[in-house]
Amino acid sequence: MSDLKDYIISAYFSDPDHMIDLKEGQVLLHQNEINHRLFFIVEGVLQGFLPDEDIKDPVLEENAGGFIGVYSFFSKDHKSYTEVRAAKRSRVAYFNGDPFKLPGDEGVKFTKFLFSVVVEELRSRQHFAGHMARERHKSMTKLLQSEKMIVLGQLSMGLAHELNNAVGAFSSNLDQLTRSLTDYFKSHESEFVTPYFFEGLREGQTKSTKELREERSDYEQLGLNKSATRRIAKTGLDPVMLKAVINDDEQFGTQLSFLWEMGSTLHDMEVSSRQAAHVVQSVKQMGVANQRWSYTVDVNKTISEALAILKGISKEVAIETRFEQELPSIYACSGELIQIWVNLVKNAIESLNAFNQDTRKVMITTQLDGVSIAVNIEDNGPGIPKEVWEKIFQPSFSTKVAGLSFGLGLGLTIVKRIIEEHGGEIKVTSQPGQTVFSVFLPIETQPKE
Amino acid sequence: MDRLYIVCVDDQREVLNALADDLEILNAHVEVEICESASEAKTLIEEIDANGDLLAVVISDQVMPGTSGVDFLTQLKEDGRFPKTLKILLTGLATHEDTIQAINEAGLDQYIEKPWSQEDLVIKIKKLLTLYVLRSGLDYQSFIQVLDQTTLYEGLRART
Amino acid sequence: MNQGTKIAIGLGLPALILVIPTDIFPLEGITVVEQRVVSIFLLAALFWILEPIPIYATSLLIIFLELVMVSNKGLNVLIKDENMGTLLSYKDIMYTFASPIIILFLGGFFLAMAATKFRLDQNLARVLLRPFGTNPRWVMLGLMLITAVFSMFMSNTATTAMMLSILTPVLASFRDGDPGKLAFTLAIPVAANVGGIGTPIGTPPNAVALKYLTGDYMVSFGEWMGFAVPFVVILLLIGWFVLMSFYKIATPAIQLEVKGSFLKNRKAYIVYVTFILTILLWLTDFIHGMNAYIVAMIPVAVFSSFGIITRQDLKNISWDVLWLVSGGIALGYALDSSGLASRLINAIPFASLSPIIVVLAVSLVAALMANFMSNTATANLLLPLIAVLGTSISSLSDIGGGMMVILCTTIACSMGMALPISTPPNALAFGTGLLTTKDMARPGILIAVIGLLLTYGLMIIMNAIGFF
Repeated sequence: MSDLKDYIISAYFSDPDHMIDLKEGQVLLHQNEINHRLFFIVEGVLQGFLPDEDIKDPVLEENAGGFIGVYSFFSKDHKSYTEVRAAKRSRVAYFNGDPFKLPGDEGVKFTKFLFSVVVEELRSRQHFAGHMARERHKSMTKLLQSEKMIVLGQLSMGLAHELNNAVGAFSSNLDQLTRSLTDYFKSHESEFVTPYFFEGLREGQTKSTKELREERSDYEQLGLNKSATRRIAKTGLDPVMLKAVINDDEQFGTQLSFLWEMGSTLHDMEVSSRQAAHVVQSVKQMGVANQRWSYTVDVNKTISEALAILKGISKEVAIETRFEQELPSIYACSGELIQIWVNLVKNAIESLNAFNQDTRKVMITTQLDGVSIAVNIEDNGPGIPKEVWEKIFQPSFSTKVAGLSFGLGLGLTIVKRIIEEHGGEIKVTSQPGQTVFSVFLPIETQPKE
Repeated sequence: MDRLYIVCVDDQREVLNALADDLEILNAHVEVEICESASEAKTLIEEIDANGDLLAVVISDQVMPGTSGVDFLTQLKEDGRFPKTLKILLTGLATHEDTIQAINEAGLDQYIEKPWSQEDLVIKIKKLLTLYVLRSGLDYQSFIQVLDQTTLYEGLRART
Repeated sequence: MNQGTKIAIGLGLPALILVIPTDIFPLEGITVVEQRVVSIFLLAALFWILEPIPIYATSLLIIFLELVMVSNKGLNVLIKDENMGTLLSYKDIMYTFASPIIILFLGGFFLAMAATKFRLDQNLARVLLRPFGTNPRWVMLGLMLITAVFSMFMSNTATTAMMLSILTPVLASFRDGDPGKLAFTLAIPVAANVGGIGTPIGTPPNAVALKYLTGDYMVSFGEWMGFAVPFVVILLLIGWFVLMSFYKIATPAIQLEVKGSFLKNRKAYIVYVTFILTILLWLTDFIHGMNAYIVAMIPVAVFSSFGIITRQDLKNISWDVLWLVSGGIALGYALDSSGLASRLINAIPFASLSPIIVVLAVSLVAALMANFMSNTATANLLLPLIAVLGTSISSLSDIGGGMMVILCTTIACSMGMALPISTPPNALAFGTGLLTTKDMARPGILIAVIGLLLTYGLMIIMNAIGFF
């Protein structure tokens, strides 16, 4: 067969007068143009397009060694049904006779060869159609999925809105209650037990159950009953001091632990309500409205929004920002960017709080770094042990150390995924006293499919 | 006299404190201990066993870092030293599979969903305590304040 | 008092008795063996009262100490002295584990267990309760009568457990704060305690008494029921009345519901027939000649043969109750066979005591002790001494003699029902949480006092008709 092809090519598609050179993008055939020629691609690539706004992809494509114009050449009306353009610099040779009128053996040879060309053409178009169908199915599924996500997003927005009111009322009432009790106890400070309310309110329970069990015997000498002993042990106050204060007055001891527990309960409630408010806020911020990709995202602004969300839990931490003011807008999803900053900054705050450091600082800087915007989030916490570096981006890895911890269950895995979706990358360097998460977002980001 | 223990395991301290508060009314007759992790509970159980005291009931959360509730209860069952100990899974976040596994492999005796009501919790614990006291042949009269009457009647009727 | 102190006292005082030289012992001519028996008796008393160990364990300890210290095969260094007195036969001490009295009780246990297993108890309760309608007063009387009847053949504890489980769901339908709840909850332990008096196997103290009711004092199963059942009925009616006057029932009508129907299968029929047959044979020994102990073997043999009581069920037999009684029997045996009993009779001038005062005193002591400790342990401790007393005070014979004192004391042992700790039925009723100790004690004490007076009346009547 290839002998035949070589013969036909050399006999009918080698005439220098019947050659056309095409530049990239140059049109060979317009749609519906009458065509009596059969083209052989000597070099380059040609593509067929339907001039339709919605379909931008080529509907056919042929490389060097292939034929173009097969349909119009053989069809009755000789109309080209696509617009054929060169995808790059190409050269085509053409034949414009009637193959059935060639003399003798030549006609037989030519038609025999053409037969194989036509079949090949059919096969490749079929193949192309199958490919297109698959693609369409894929994009439909994707569409459905994203619709589902939108519904879910709308639902969570609704939830967030409802909860926001409830949580708001809860936390302001709680503040009110704490204030009233504080005032009341302040005005009764002469009474001996009231300071223990503030002890509880300040820190809550700091002892672990294990410590409590081990230290329980120290509190047994206070001579309280079993339940009261356990309660008073939870205060974590020095038993020797307590012994002196309580002085075998069982009622006083019970009152003391009661007041401490009241304070401690308020403390826990405050922490919980703050976290609940934070979760609701985050959901609202990252909600449907912010799930759109846009070309005009201001990275600095997303960081500011994230910090607003984190206001509740960043009280004890000094957060400093150094923004590069002349940052270009990028193509990104602002809701997702906020999500990144919330997670990274929250991690930093939590690690600082967990270690009870005296000066707790988080510094956020943005700068233009060639083709990317670099965002650095730096804290002066204890640092991440080197062996953990690898693991922190894996799912279900948590560095939660002690005490209350909530969060959105997102974690660094998702942070990494979002950044990758934006075509960026994240790096971490850490040593005691300085941990830096660096996020790089390319300025010219194309939407990923 | 040998002491009876109820051991509660949950990674959240608020939950543990709530459990301890709800079970405080049993304090006069049994020891209620709380643990923040399965490994802490294991150490405690070793201590209880070494002292010759009795592990009557274990209440465990399912979702915990490290050992999960079901794994912990399964290990306890496979230990073999505590065949009479009654096991409770206390959780709001267990899948179907977890629950089935807990029943089949850990020999779960009771399932309590979060959030629980104190009344319900105490009734269930009392029932299990009663079963433990009857199974172990302990003198029920000294625990009668913390036993479930109906369960006790059933147990006593079977005796002469 | 902690456990250590209790054990120290329980062992210390008896040890002190042991080291007193016999010649300065305040009992003339006492032998070493007798002195040891005194010591063991004191140990038993202290252990049963203070309860540093379970009461059945004390019983086993008594038997063990007797075997080692005063039996003819005891520890050689302890029994080598020729002049130490009459040593006891080790076999006789060991026989107490299978004494006829124990077998009688075992027979009762088999009956009770089969009845429970084949739901005869529950179904009987259902049928018997029906005629009492829904008027709470009559329902309460019905409950009490049925409880009493059951506790004559089943253990008081098992009866109470069953009846309380029938009653508990109904208590919820009472009006809030209705004192009737208290009346009903108390009715069951009262009836169970009183009902136990009705037969020799109704409660362990009766069994302990049987040991001393032999020979001339012999009382058959039927005779016991002949005087005890009417007594039980009268005391129940009084108890019913007392409870209702203490706690007025406000709920107009109540409905006791017992589910189920009589089982109709081969094994169940065997149980029914054996149950009736055994009771009939117990009541008719004068016709067939088999005494109650031998009849008691019928349910044991039948139920074991037909697989009605299985190996697993045997584990649920209250061996501790049986052994508790064994210990009491062993204690009485030691007192008697060592010669200590007769020495006491000769040494102490009982004859000068007023017989009536003696009877009043011992029955009061018995009732008091039974309120604070196990009824059975009370009987174990008191009856051997009472038996001695009964034979030694000749003036007693006018008012019924030794047999009267023994019966009077035995019934008094069942009057311990004022406190939650008095009997297991009381503890169960208290465990419902509906009662305070005071709620239980007020009617409890009154019923016990009336019960004691009624006992004296019974004794006077029985003496008058020449029963003793």
